[in-house]
Amino acid sequence: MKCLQVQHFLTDYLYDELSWWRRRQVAHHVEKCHQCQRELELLRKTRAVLHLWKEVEPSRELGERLTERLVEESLSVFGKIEEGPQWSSPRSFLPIGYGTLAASVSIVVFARNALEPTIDLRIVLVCGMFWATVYSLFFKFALNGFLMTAVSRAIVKPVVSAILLAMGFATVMTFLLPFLVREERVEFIYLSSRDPLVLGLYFLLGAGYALLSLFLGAILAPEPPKGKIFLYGSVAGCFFALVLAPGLIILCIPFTLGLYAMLLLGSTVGAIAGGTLGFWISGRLFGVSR
Amino acid sequence: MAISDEVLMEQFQSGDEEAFILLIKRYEKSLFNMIYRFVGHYQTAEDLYQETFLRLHRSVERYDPSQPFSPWLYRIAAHLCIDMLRKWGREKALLKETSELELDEQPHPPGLERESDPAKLVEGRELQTIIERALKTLSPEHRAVAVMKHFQGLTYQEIGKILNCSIGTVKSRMHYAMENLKIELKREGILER
Repeated sequence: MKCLQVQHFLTDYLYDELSWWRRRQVAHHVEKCHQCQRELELLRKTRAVLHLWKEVEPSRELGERLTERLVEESLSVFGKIEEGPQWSSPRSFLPIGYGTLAASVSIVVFARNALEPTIDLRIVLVCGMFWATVYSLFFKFALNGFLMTAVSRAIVKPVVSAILLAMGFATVMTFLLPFLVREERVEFIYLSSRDPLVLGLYFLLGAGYALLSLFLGAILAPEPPKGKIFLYGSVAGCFFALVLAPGLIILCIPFTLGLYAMLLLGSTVGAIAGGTLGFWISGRLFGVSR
Repeated sequence: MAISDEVLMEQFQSGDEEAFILLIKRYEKSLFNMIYRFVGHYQTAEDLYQETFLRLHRSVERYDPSQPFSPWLYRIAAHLCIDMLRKWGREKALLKETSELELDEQPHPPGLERESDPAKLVEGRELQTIIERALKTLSPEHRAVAVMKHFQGLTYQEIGKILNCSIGTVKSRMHYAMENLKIELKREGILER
């Protein structure tokens, strides 16, 4: 090997980053070449001088300041590093509280409707849980920047939230659907499918239902976004509207295309508004920094 | 037997905040020194140190426990340091370097103070200043490689992953960095002692 080639490898040689074969070649050359020996010696001295730069100690207050910043950013209720972590915030119990309330109301409503059933409540519950699970999982991914989370966080928390929320949605649907699927209503729908008033009514129905659903979901989301609330609200809202479509098909509600489209359009608008509004209020109520 | 960093991160991902505390304590000194050697200013190093752990906390769910933890941590720190130096501009940033005068004016970074012999203390400070001055001749990218290779003992492969560049690029930068440091220290008369 020539000196120029060897000197190119001297740093790697010094820091033991050469393959055994290359290292052997360099060592063999350096043994015989005074110029390369000199260069290697200078590099060794350079390294030795760098070693003389002593480590510094971080200040004692650094750990405390780090803790304060973590608390300020509401990333977790952290406490002082020396004392260890504290309990989770009361906010984490909100979905359970809502679920308990929804379950209580559901029991009352279902019991009343059972006397005069107009729809199969199992379909109502299945659809409600399907929608709530899907959008709750989406909330989880959206709020974490559309990235995959660890298994326990990705599944356990949103599924539990979804089950609790689904009962509330089933309650809402129980009030809405009997009105829509009664025979006289169906005939009315087919006859009036081009009536602007009816179209507007379905738009409002979709908007109202979606707004309520997304509003509640955003308020109770485990980790609301700290910024871009309109973006997150819109994405969640559009996703909700897309999920609503198969749900409506599953229920086999005899809508015409025009009414179906108005219902979806209303749902999209309502969902975006509900999601954005819910996140905004959530941030104000719980002091999440923006 | 000590719990590995990767297991601690996994525990933290499951919600165990104490695991995060252990990680902070484990890496407090080495990370802080890496940052300090990078930016050359004690106060800035403290700020970037905090920011590193804050970002680690925020991005914990992106960490894959099957991958080593320390490169992940150093990546966050290195990018923060490089961004800071780029933002300031190399010359502006190093107006904040600890010159001899500043060393006298601000609380000395603990470590130097342990030296009881005044002559050695002064020599230590002088040497530190010279080394910092030599490092300032390097661009942020070259400085990153030199600090991580020499002071943190990372391999070229690890450095490449941290800085998102090829091993060839890392080698080239390290070679350039050492050559320049050699020239600077020679100019200061350090290498002839």
